[in-house]
Amino acid sequence: MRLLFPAATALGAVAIGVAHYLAFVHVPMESTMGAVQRIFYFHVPSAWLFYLGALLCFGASLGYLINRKARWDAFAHASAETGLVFGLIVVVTGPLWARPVWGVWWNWEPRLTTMSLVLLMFAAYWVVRAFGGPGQGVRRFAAVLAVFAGPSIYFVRVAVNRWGGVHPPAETASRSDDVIKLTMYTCFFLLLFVFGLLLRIRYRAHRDALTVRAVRRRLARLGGI
Amino acid sequence: MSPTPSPTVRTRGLGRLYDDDYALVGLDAEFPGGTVTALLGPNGAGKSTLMGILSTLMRPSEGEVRYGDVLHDDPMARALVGYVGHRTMLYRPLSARENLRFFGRLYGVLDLDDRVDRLLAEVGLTRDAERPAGDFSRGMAQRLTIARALLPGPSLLLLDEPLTGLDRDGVAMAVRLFGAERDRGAVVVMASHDLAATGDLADRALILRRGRKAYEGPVEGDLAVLYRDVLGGEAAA
Amino acid sequence: MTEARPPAPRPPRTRAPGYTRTVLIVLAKDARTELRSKQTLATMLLFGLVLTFVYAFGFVSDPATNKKVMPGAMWGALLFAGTLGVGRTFAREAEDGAFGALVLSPAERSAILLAKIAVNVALSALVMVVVVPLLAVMLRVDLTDCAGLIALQLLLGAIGFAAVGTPLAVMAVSARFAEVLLPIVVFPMVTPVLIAGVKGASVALGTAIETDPWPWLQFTAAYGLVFGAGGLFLFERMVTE
Repeated sequence: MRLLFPAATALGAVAIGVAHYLAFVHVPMESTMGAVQRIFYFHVPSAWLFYLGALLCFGASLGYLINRKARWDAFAHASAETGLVFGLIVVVTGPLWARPVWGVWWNWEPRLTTMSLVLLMFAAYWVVRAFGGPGQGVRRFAAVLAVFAGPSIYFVRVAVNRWGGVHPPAETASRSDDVIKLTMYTCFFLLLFVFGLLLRIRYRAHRDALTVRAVRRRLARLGGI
Repeated sequence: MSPTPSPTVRTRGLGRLYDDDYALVGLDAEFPGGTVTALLGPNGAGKSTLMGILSTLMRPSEGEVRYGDVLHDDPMARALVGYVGHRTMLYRPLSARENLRFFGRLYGVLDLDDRVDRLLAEVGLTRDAERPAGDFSRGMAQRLTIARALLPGPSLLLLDEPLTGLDRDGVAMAVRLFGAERDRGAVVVMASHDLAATGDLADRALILRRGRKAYEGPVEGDLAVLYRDVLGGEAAA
Repeated sequence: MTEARPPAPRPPRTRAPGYTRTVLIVLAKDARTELRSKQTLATMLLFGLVLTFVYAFGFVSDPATNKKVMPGAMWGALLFAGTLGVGRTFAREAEDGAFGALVLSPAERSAILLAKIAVNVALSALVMVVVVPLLAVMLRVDLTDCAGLIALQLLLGAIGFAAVGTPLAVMAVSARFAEVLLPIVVFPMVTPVLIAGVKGASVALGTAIETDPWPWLQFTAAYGLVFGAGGLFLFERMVTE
């Protein structure tokens, strides 16, 4: 059992390597966009994983507000952090792809806009956790934030879609052939594995921090520290 | 001595977790009407947690509190509790009278004007009734906050360091008022570093140590002696 | 011990106020506090005025462009001044922990939130009543034909904003750097209101492709409704430890 996590980590490293191989070597060149389309094998799964992180954070935060178990809060915190990593991949790879294909770094494409706004929400969540202090009140603040972010995502999507009505609908890899699709899904599952590893590391860290604080308080009660 | 003592407040298996650690564990305690219970213990023993739960501001992680027939998560419970905490809980721009009138309305106190006048007189703020609470000294604000807690005639009066900032006259006044509340049948729970003043009032004591009950029972003789006997070397903390 | 003590006081009779009455009591208290100190309204108003100058210097141009800039200027002012407002109304509650006493009272807790949302809507409305006409004068935009529509849009927007901003402001008081964190947290979440407001206003002013302002109004109303209801429903959970 003690070797399970190191082994899984090694497997995760292999998974990242495999994903790169699939995206850059295995899959044939897409005809209209060329090499730059290969970014999509990371860009799209990362976006899914970002939303997965947001969803987990939303669920765990709602749970925390109801049952007040510190571990649920630790899990919500960890999911937000892990989601943010993948969100960052999305907003970095997005413009890299957009520049050669659309000719601009940024074009207010609805999905991109929605994604950035949701990313901002979770960045705010992260800032609250990082700088707001360790108290119970801050945890509840963060939990409310994550719970509010849920319906917010829906409203942002609707508003941005209607707002961006003047732009032509984005052409993505959706009309692609089976190899491309299959590679996309494979990459998603490989990255999902990495997502799980990162989530576990961060969850462990937050849970250990809870334990440390509990032990410290116990020692303080005994008159130590 | 009192015609209708308030119903006993009982905790059963009461526990509260903080960061995966118990601040309070499996507490079974009783607070009968018409008594003053001194709540004592070293720092971190769980006094504030217990006060918080009894006040309904905190939720228990385990167990329950019953105020007579009313369970702790019943909104009715809040109407029964009067609370003096570490902070004054007053609105600075409002005058003493306005502060009391506002809270009185929220509690739905009937004959509010009479009640406010009498309480202002009892805490010795009649002459300062129209001054904003923000101008008050700590001692005056504490008198006002005591009046606020007594306003609805609570059946459970929670006093967390209620003597903060009071001068000698103020302490005497507070002790007299809390005693009167006991005499009319209220359950009074008081946590204070001032063992002498607490000892003047307390009929019973609940002593906590590391989140657990170390003593629950009557106070006979000197409270400080009882406290030292129960906690031994830890009493200093 | 009980020698010469006066007879024990009889407890007063009480009858807990109903929901609407609780809302009114808290509203009256906030109105009185505000009239007394004038702190929040004065700072919000002044901030709004400063903003109008910022916008005027930043964007004033030919009449056609001004007309296009006007919606963004109005809604920017609403958001900035509104954030200041929600932060202030709770800073006062937190000052001496009075909010604790408010929450401890038998008053329905969600009624307290409802009252606070109403206070923030009222403050924003008062500020906008001054700022919008001033912006119209400075940018030389004629609002007379669509004043009613714009007012309705701003009112619904202020409700949506307050429905999100108020509970978050309540929660923020326990955090460090609350006054900095609040805008960071609130702005991304209220972008739908901003988008709907700006778009709706440009429809009202006739500078947009669309001509029907109702979908945006409905959207803003739905936003306010969802977050208002969600906040009221969760408020009990938010304020207890």
